[in-house]
Amino acid sequence: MKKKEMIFFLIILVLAGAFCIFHFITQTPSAVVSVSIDGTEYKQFDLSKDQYYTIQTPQGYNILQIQNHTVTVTEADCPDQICVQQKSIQNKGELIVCLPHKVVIELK
Amino acid sequence: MNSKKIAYCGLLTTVALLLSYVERMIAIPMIVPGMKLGLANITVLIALYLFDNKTAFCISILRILISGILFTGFASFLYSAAGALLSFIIMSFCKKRNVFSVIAISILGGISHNIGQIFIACIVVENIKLFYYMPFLMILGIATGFITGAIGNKTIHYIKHYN
Ligand SMILES: [Zn+2]
Repeated sequence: MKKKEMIFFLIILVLAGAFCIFHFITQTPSAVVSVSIDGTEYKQFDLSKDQYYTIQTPQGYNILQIQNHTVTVTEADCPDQICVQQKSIQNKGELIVCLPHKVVIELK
Repeated sequence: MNSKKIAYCGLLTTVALLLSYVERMIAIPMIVPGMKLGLANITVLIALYLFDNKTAFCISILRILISGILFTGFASFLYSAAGALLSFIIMSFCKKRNVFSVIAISILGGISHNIGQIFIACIVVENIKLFYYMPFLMILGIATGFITGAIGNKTIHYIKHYN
């Protein structure tokens, strides 16, 4: 790799790294989770109440779990299971996405 | 097209498929929803240098099609197709310019792979907020691009030397 290229990628790395650090310092716990399907909001939940909720979409279901102010998808019938594998979220702006079902779970 | 090239193409496609499979097992759930590392980029990189754009493109498309049929559904197919397509365009364009090193091209491929995936994901779920993950993916793209680039670089030299 040439020196110029090295410097270029290092600058990008530093910028992205700075953003990530800034993000981790400023993150705040969320109180409300919003679920949207295909771009339109479907339902909102209060994070202070522990519960399970089944999100029904035309393509299938996702089971949402709210526990100790964190949100996870415990079960879904989507082919890739990416939403289920994702770790629980608790801070403002964090997302869980299920592409096959077009579901976005977002903390507000 | 000679038989040697056919053999290489078959081999590269197989390796690409294997890497896609390995990638699925080490999906990185902790950072980003279903983001793939883009390890299979290494085969496209090698094909670009050993053969030409057309061959590299075919290997890339074949891998996405077959792994889509074998391992995932349509949504994930779109997702990885967007990533692979954008990274192919960027890598072939940069290679043509003849000023970039193999590793740099690989890193650019890695970054564009992630941008392509995020872009299509935003369209699918109609939510622009997915770009929130971009800086994390930049770091990931540079890291994997560097590793695949370094391995690809060695492999290309090796194959060229022994041919
Ligand atoms: Zn899912």
